[in-house]
Amino acid sequence: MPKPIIQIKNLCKNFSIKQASLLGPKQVLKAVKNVSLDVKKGEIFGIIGESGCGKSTLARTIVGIYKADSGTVKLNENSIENIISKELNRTIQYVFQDPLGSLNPRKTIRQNLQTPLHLLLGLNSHQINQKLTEMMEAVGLPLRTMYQYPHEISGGQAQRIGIARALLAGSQILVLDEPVSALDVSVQAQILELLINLKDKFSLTYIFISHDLAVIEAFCNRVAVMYYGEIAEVLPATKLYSQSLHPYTNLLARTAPRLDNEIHTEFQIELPDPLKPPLGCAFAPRCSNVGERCKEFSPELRLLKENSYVACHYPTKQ
Amino acid sequence: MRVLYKKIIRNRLAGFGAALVSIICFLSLITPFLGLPDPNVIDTSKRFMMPLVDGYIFGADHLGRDILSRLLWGTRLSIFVGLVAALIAASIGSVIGILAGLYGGKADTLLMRSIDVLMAFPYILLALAIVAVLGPGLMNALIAVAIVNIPFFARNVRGVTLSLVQSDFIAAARLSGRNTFSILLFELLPNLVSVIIVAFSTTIGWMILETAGLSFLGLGSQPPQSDLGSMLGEARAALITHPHTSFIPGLMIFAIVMGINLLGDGIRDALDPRLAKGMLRRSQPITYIDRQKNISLPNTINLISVNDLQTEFQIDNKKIKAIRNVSFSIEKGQCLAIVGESGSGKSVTALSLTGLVASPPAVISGGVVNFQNIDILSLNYEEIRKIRGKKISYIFQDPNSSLHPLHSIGDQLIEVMLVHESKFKRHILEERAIQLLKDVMIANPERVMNSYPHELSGGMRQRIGIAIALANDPELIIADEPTTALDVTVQAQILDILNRLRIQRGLSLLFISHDMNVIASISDKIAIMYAGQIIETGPTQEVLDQPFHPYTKALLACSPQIGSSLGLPKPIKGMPPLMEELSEGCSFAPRCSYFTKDCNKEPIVLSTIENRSFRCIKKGSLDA
Repeated sequence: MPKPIIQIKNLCKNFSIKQASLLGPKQVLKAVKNVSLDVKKGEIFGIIGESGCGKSTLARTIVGIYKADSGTVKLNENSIENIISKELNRTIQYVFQDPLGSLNPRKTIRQNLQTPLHLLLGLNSHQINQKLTEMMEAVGLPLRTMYQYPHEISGGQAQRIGIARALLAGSQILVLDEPVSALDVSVQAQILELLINLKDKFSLTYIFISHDLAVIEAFCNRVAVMYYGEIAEVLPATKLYSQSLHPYTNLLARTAPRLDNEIHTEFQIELPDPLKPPLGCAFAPRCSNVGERCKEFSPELRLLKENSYVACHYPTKQ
Repeated sequence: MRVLYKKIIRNRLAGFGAALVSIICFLSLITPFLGLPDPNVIDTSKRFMMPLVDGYIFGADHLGRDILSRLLWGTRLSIFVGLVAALIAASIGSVIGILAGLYGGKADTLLMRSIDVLMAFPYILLALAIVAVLGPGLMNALIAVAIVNIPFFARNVRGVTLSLVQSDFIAAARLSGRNTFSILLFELLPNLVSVIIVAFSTTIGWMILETAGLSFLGLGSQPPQSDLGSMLGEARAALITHPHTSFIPGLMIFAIVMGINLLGDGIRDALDPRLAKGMLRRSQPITYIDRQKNISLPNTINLISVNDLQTEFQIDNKKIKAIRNVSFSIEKGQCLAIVGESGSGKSVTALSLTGLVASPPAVISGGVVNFQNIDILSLNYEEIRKIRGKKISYIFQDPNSSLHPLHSIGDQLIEVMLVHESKFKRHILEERAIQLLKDVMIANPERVMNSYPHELSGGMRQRIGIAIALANDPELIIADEPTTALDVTVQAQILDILNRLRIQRGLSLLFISHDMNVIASISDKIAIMYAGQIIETGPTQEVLDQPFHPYTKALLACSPQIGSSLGLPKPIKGMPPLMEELSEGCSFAPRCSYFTKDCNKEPIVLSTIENRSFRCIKKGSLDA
């Protein structure tokens, strides 16, 4: 069994919120709570959850944009705290959700792209030219795109540039934060196809974040479902639709629209206040399977079946 | 740079300002070479000489000094002082602003509170205090004016820096190996330059005025040195008897400050991206309608039937067709879904129905919108207003921007009802508003009535959006991507509410979406748009089961569906065409896997098979 390329242990990330009043206590928002995950080399690992569940914060902590409050992230068995930042950037890179927002609007695509080659890899201008030419071909863009400004290209092209920027650093791991959510479906399919081709070409490992179950199911090997800053379930993507164990995953799969579907919905959605965490399971108020233990004890993530981990006192019976 | 120059010159007022400033600057530059008499030589015999006498073009002042010479030397000095003061204020203020915005936290608090303290003093009082401490003199006046203006730059630059620092491209630059200093220099600064230039160009006139003010009070330039302020100050005593001595420098100050301000505003407008296309013109309450042909209005049993609707955008003398010959109809109680990718014209279609597309640049150039046997597009503004929000109402994608942030939910609901029925008493309307909130499944309507939009979740806000759309018991609701910004569980709820209301109230629904999976569950009929045309339409389930147009088929193949075990979605090669470069034939031809030469020959007409129609020469046989 191959060693995991990414090991996350008990990771926590908090944000302090401005006090409501001048003398009031400082409020802490726990965006990521005690998350542990392993990602294997060559895997496409999906993270799914609704807005505000902490999936982007988790991703940004893994690549070092945010600093963890506690817990560890290990890449190839080295803790990221011990890796110098340039080495970290050469190992793991991030693709942003808003492809245009991640490009400096005052610079040409070429100027945007050559920074990592120059600063992270220390290449000379001849080598940079060669690398850029290769990369533009790899992401399927004509060379002239390099001399355009970000506002002159389309969203799909911009996302190709975003992926190119991440790959130019030479990293083996890409964290893709909703890379196709802002795109039209026909372009979304193009980008997904490109990502698969690049993965084979450069032997990459992906962490793929999305709120779209259908995309996750089609694209990923394994999936972590996040709710309210915690991992609710980790399962193979093929089991996402009909063989999930956590009632929240069930709910997501049931409410996701399908061509042949009637509308399924819960009557009331009561989301917990992120600043006042409930005592027990955060999903309990919405759960159809709620029991006594749920309101008092927060469930731990445990291995329930082969490859399926779930944080639930009363998981769905299969 | 040339574009910028053109933009400034095209703006007449800014061009005038630029001309004025150039002339004055040119004159003050060549002043030493004009052979003017020494501005400081006193000749009491020429006291208060009138203009145009004895070679004194502008006359002489109370000490018999040549006013023209003093004016030009004084202008030179005033502009120089203003420019230097503005440069100092801009540099120091920008540095403070950038540091505060970049480092945030304690540094930000410390710097900005000091700036606040500086701003707490009245403006001129602070300048006076600084001069009082430093002693009178032009140099000290310059320092005072510069210090007084630092807060303006610091605050402006800090605000922009703060928003830039949080943007993704800064994070991307960090991941590309840049450190904080290099981010400041290579990523932030290029984006801040235009802000600083705008602030600079709009304040320099003000600074010249302030320096003149200090000199006028005798705290700036000291005799015999002349600047515009001191000339005015010295002439004050003779204001009534010899007005030309104060009138001339006064006019010069006026000309400089006005010229600089006009030019500054011009630069601001030219650099502001929101004004880039000259879009800041107020749009008309109804889209401009310019239909050529005689309009005939066939009777219809449908609630609404749209025929041959065409809307185009007229930008820079070019006509860009946004929607081309769109026809559809909706029966009472029916839901029609319009599906398409961005730029396909689905939103323009929805907005055209009640003339809501922004004009300029939009023009509805043809077609009929027959709503209950009235041609909506022939109505005047007052008549159309009675239909909008009353008989036809809209739900928009972003409930954040369609709700007013400063009014309570209750007030907004009641306002919508009052617009159309002003005679009702408030408590009756309140009851109706509460009932509406119950209709959209809001659990505690009394409390929500008094809430403000920011206190509610995205799903709640969208339900309020639906409640507002329902307020006047409309016949038709047009929902433009109402669930796109929402999470799946919330989306399901909104779809459920819309569907339930449609059945209970016999409402008709025009549902616009990019998502095939979403419309499948809610619509009876579907119309698929591509490049401004409806390329296929028919009963939803039939179209989804067996599409007749290759684009519909391709769109279905590239929309992933959960539980389908179809693997990765199949992409459509290429990109949608640009609307200004449409060819004669089929717009989808370059991307179509069924393409034949005949596709490009002529415009594709609508073929009809039973209750379905489509624009494709393959006539629906797509199995090959």
